[in-house]
Amino acid sequence: MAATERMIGTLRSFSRLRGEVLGIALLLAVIAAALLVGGVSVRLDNAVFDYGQRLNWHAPSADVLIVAVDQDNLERLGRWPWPRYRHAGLLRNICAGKPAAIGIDIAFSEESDDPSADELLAEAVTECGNVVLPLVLETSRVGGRLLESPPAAPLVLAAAAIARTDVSPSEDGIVRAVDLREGIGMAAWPLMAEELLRVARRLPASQATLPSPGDVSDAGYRLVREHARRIQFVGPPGTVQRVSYAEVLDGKIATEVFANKIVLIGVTAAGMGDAVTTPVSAFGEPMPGVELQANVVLSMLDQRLITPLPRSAGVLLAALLACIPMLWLPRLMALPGLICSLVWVLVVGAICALLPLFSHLWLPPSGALVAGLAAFPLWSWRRLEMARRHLDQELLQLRSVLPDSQIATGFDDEIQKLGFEERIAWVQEAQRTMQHLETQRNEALAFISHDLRAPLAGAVRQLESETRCEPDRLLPPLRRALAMAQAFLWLARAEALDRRQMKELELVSILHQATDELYALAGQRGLQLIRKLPDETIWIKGDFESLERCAFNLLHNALSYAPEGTPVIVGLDMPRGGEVRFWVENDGPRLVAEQIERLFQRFSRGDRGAGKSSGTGLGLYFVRKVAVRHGGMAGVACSGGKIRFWVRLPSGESRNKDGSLLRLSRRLKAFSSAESRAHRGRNAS
Amino acid sequence: MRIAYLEDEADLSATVSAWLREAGYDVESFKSGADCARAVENQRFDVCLLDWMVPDLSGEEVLARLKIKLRHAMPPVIFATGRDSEEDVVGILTSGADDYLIKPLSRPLLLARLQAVMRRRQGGVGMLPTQHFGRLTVDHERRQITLDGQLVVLTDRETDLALYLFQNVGRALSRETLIQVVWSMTSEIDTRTVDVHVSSLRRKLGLSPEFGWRLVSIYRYGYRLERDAP
Repeated sequence: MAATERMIGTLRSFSRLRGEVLGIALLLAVIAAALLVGGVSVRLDNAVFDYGQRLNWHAPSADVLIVAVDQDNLERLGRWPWPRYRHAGLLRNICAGKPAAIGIDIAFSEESDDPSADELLAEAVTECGNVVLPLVLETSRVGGRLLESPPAAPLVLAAAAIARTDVSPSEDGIVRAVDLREGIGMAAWPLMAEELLRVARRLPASQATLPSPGDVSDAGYRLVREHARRIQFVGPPGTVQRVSYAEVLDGKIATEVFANKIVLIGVTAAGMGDAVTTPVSAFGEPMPGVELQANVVLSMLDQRLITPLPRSAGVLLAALLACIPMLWLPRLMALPGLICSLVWVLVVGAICALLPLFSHLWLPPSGALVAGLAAFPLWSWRRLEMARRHLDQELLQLRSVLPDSQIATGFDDEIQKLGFEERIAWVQEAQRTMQHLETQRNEALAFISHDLRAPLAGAVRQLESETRCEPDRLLPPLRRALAMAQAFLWLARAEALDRRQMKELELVSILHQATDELYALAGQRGLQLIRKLPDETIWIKGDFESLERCAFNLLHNALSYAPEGTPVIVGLDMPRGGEVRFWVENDGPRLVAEQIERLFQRFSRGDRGAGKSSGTGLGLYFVRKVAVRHGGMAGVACSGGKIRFWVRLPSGESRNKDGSLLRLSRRLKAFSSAESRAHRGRNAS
Repeated sequence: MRIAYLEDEADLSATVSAWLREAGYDVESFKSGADCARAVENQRFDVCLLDWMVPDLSGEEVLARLKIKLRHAMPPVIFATGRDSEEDVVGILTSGADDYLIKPLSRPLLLARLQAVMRRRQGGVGMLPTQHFGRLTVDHERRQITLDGQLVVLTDRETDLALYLFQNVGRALSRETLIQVVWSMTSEIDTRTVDVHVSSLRRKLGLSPEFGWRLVSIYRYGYRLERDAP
């Protein structure tokens, strides 16, 4: 039965745990997805991507060559723009080396002032037959409309292909990606890199078969971009091989250099042209546009262009990755859980950074990373909540078990106000009480097994013996055992007394009653019982039976120890406001302090009574216990050959005029005890 | 006088039955609560002496059943119980028992309680015009109490209370009963008043063992005036 209940309990807590795990996993998935959809953490994604790019150095490919207009050229050949016949001369020199294709990253949108120069250039382009000219997408000076500006008419006819050279920088201004197709109203224009490769007949098949642009009837004059790809850079600016424009023009470079190469002509001089920042531009050194085009050519040639995962797939994957820490967090303790989570975040980051390098795919990792970092604190929070629930339950249970139990409903509210550390302190406190109770129980067991068993065993032995035994010899040990059992029962009851459940009762009648009960015994022992009790009634809050038993015990003791013929007096006085004290007095020798302390201890008998069979050793211990449980005290005073045992109790009402003062002092006492409790709590925590 | 005695412990049952037979009672003892209840329902018994703890039907359940079946024809019931805590005793008395005895039973106490409840059964001593208890003389007709021939000065309420207590010597009387009889109203009155009056009666009439009396307060349930010496 109990086993079944335990199993059900375990199952219930297990299913609750599973619920918690699923809840947190869902929350993490939502966090990851929301971050990606909302684009909040793009910076993190970019940082991871850039880090991956910087890890990646390719040997500079010899297939692509840049003819660079650098700072020296500008100083030697004069201000930019240069006359077009100069470009024509350059082209002729390059074509002499039979390059595979030539791309010019210099805009020729407008006809120059010198028409003959344009013709010269057009001739040169035609002669080469493999020159790709740029198309510029620009905003018109008037009206701000977007315009596609192809090269001037004769050049367009001469060129092998017309292509775009523009790029699409990310939000942070760093160029990571290009769009394979772009155009106004329709994504029709390819990149220069693609056209160069096509002209050189080296375009990979996968690039050659891009799907044609979709239906664009509604696009109007908007800029349409399609097929975004991330570039895999071969290295920092300057990695791609360069030759100087001026030197080529002057014929200082052997034309064989260009054989079967893809040649790109552009401006690399700082402060000129279209330099952009890239992930590999270390120390703020921008990459000239022409080198960026060269990087795109190289990426495309080796099929290393990086395809970003479709958005929906990326979100789904990130959500899945976000849930993964919940596989180990519920199974691990806090520190291993934390370490695992951190390792997980690093691994996901590293994989996402390296993924473009090895499989040319890009998965934005920020969702999974943030969720991975959030998983530990979130789960720890749920764990703390579970721990708190457990503590509360534990506290309630301990409360109901412990003697000072309070009404559970009030206690529930009380718990809610406690902090976590305080709760721990409370549980510890309760555990200590439990230990204390355990000790008491062991003492009780020791008492039963020894003190109670001895007289009973003696009686049984006598009954079992051959000779018939006298009832007179049998009775005393049995009576003693009975008295002990009774005293023990009383004690157990006294220990369970709760001040909060005490009711009003009349003290004088209790004392009368106890005296009445022992009147006959006093007569038998030749002792005089004298009452010095007040006529009026005195009301206190207390427990009827245990108080009566207190008076009874005190009187019984006095009757046992008083010399024959002497009076035993029971009395009551009010030494101070708010207190009543009843006492029992008999003749007897003075007690020393050590004896007095021993009198009120458990299982101790006064020296005088050591030989008497009726003493249980619990009587005075019980009296003190009851007095303390009532918020009072019990003690003994000796003077003038008299021994007076007294019990002091708080009285229900103070008849003094300074009642308010009393109440105040009581409140102060309550305050200081609360403070000391709080102090204890602090110490414990 | 027929007594129905419910007790499951054979030794104790035999001993107590013997005591009762010697005292001139006709005793029928039962070991099962159900048997006992059935017998009391069908035959005439003058008193029931019930053990609180019986395996099948506890004394309390027997009492509840008899109260439903017999109503006013119910014989007085005395309980014998091993549990002497306040809760248990007050529980026994409020559930309708006439009195209780704490185990181990003592023969004189048992007989005294039996006599007290029997007297009530026979109409009590209310008819008696005068009662003599040693030094005390109680004159119910003139509503006067004398101690050693001296008239004791009591207030009206004290007199009412004293006369009622003397009519019901040996019986457990609940506070509510006392309030109803003496103050003729239901517990509107502060129950403390009862204690104050009882306390002053104890003093004025010397109701203490010195004079053969015991005025016992039964926890917070009520009082019982007991006469020790005849």
